[in-house]
Amino acid sequence: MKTRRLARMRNQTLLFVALTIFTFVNLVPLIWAALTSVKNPADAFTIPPTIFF
Amino acid sequence: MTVVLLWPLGYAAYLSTFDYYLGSREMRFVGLANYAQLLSETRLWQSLWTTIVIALGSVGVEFALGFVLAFALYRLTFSVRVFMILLFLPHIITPVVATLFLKWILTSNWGLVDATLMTFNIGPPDWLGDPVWAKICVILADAWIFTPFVMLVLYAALQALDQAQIEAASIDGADSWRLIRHIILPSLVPVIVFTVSVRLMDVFRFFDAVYVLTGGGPGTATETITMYTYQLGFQLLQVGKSSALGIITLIIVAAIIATFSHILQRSYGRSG
Repeated sequence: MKTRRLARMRNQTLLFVALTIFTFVNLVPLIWAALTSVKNPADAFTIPPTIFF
Repeated sequence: MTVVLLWPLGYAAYLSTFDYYLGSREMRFVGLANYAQLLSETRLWQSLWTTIVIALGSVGVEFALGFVLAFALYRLTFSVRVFMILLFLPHIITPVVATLFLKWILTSNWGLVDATLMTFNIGPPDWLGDPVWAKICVILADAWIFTPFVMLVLYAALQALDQAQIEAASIDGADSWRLIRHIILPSLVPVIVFTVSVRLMDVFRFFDAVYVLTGGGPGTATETITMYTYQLGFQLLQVGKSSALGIITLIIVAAIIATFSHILQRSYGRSG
């Protein structure tokens, strides 16, 4: 009974982590657009890209 | 209402029988010559092939990802609503704006993807300038926008499944893969056929993402049938030919609807 509960908890955690990673990657274009909207034009075109400034 | 709906269609069918350039006052009746000319053009078949490749690619990705996400959310016991809202965000944005976001990060040299890869000394491909990569980008752009729709429909269908049957199979020792293969997928066939057919019809009328992302290029690598119609009508101003292509597209989409509604009826008959 306890083993089954542990396995269930492990599965739920793995599912949550996988979904969190996918959701983050999926939202990168939106996050990037939001971050770019508050940058100076010069900061928007740098290599390596800057997150804020 | 019928007149309002059918008037543009009738007018397009009427215009398709004329040799008519926008701006010129002359309209020469040519019968079905526009259709014959279009059907003999390599560019039409090429754009049709591109449309089919993009349609199958994007609907395939949307269905696979949509199903995996819907099933993951179905199995998850907490935070489902939060994930649902966050995953649905790309679909809420206007497709043109969503595609502009993607174009922004895929732009050569200073786009987020290129800049990040170049930071690690990896030479990125020309995402929107290479014919193969441009097609892949268009497919992924469409998938990014419309996977949430497929996910939502499949998630709703999963909620409506007979839980007793699933629990009985689980008690009998069926693992997730067997549950999906032998119980869940067969029960979802009508919804799957409906979703895939709606998306296929949509992708055949696909214009905005291609227009914003690649403009049909490089060359004609991502020129879909609607993009070609636009080129004919608004770039080359050949209104008669453009109308004929619109009617051809309508016939193709109608054929898809007929095929899928037939399949849908058969699958409903089987599951009902």
